[in-house]
Amino acid sequence: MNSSLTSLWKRWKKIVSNRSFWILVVVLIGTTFLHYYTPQIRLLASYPITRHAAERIIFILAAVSATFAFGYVGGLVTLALVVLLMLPRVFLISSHPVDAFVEVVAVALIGYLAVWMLGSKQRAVSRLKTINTITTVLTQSLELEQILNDVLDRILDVMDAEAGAVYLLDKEEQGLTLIAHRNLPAEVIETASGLKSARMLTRCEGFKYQLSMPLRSKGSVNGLLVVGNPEPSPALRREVKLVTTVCNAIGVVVENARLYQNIARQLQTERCVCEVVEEITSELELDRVLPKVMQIAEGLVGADGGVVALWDEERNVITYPYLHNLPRALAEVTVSEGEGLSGEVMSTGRPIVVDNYQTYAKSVPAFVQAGLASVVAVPIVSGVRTFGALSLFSINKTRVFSDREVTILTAIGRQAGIAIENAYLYENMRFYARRITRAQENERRRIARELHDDTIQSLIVLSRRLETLATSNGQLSKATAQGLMELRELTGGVIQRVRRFSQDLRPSILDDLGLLPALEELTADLNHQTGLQAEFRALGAKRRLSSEVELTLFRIAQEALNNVRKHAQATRVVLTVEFINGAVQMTVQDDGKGFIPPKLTEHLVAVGKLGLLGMYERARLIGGTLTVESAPSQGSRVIVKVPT
Amino acid sequence: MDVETAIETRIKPQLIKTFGQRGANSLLTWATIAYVTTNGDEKERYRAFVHSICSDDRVVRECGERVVARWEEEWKALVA
Repeated sequence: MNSSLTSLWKRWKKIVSNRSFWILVVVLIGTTFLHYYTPQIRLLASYPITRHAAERIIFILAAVSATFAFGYVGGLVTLALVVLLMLPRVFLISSHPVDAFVEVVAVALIGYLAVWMLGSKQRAVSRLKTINTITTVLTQSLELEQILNDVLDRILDVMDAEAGAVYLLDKEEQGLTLIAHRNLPAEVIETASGLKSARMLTRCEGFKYQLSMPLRSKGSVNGLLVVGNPEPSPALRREVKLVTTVCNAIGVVVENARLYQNIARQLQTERCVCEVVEEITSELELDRVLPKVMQIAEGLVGADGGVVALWDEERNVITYPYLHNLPRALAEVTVSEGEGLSGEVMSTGRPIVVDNYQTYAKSVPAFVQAGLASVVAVPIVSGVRTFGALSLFSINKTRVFSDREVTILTAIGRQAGIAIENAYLYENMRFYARRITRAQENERRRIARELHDDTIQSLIVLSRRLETLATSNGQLSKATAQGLMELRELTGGVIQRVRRFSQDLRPSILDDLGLLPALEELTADLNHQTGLQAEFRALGAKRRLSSEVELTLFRIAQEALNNVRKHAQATRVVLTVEFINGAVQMTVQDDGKGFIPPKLTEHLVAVGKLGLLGMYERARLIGGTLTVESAPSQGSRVIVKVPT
Repeated sequence: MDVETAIETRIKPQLIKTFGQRGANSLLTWATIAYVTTNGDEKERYRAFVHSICSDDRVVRECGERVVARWEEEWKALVA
């Protein structure tokens, strides 16, 4: 009751503060005075309008003006007042009361007709304006939240309502979400469930008088509009059709905005899938690929975290090596074949969605404790091989994973399977390449030792015996002695060449003293043999490296210096070995003619640079990288970086 | 029994049991739209809510007309 009085008082204040109200009051007082002023005068001699006729016209005009200023209801109230002002004259003053009564009835009828026509026109114009304004708002953007907030404001204005709300249907009809609201009670806004919030709203005191409409598009509902007042509002009853029209327009816009969002999401999905493919094709290290793929998948479905489970063939258990947003300790958890959600997914080869992991029969207690709520798990497969399962989850709050999300994740699971298969193949290839390289090096060492211990020794003996023969006095002719000496010199040359060949095959200094002396000797030999100014530098804290790394670096240096000698036309070459934290970097830089290095290592075969390809492969086999920087006339630089 | 208690303690568990979480959510969503858009007092709205569920094709197909009619009667009686 109090609020009703307050509302009336507010309206009255609003009317009184309008200047038109006071003009109307003055007009009515003046016209009433004329109506009761007895002497009859003719206002205009040439026109047959008596004073009473003029009063009645002014009374009607007053009602029409009130309709302009205060709307249809204002016009009717003014007309009723006019009739009340005219009636006393009929009964108390007029000498022809019947005529006077007919005149009052005529004023009332004509006035009502004018007010009704004007009011109808005003309402029609006002409705068109409202539809126009709302349509403008609706077509200004595709941001649903912003549109719905703006539209709600306009609707509340038109409906003269105090509070309102717009709810939208969630995807796959899984609930309602409160998107826009005005003056709602806190408990309605704070209620976590949109369905409960909408039901509570209808019971609120502020919504005692309310209008609720579904938002429709093509016959299907996609949301709700609720406006309400604590007091009766004529507009709430009167404008039902207008609100229906507006709700249909909103429904269409909601559908368009959702289509737009779907397209945007589709693009986002395609980008993510491309990103996954890019990651998988650019990286062969599982430790880098799988966490990255997991995080892309998380972003795609808006999950709180993820876990990759893999089958450990050595231990015959399922492990969880890659976790995101979960305690690290869970990486130590193992379960038997077929156990847990991942086990089930791996056994069946199909994706599984668990609405509530806390009540899931095969849940792993450690993951339950971590607060997993809703989980979707897809198999990681390649062909017929199942490597593990990719799971994404929400924490402490259940959610829905849509069929579309499950389909995308299944595709990502397959990509992850291909990544694992590639990594295994690469690892196998690397293993065999290492074995072959090692066998090759052993063979080289054996041949080098054979040459050194047997061939060279035999040649030395031969050389000495030739010398002995040539120098035996008087036994040989001078010509024969000369021939033997030449043979001895030739033998000496062969010994030198075989020794160099043996050194090239496997320098004993590398095994005996290590990489740095071997490289120093290599540069010194180059200096000595070719006249090229070759320099060796060792920087940082010098240390011995594993025999595999030392041998690889030596072979790369050997090949690089060989290339400089044969092709670079250089005058100077610097070989630098720098020991840095956790790595060693070797650089071979020359001032030769340079060349345009191929962009991809795969192109090296096509351009016949097999030596360079061998250097790349050697570096990769020990987990290192090799970079070639060169340009015509600007020399070349080969940089090898190897983790130690 | 008030409307929310009836929904939370009787209707929702029955729907989840029969249709799973997703099916139940969908039915409750449409029922809530019927509840909110019905003109009338709380009892009339609640009856519209129950009727929306019990007249849904999925419910009738899954449970049969007799069971659904019994549910409708029972549930409507919850809110006097």
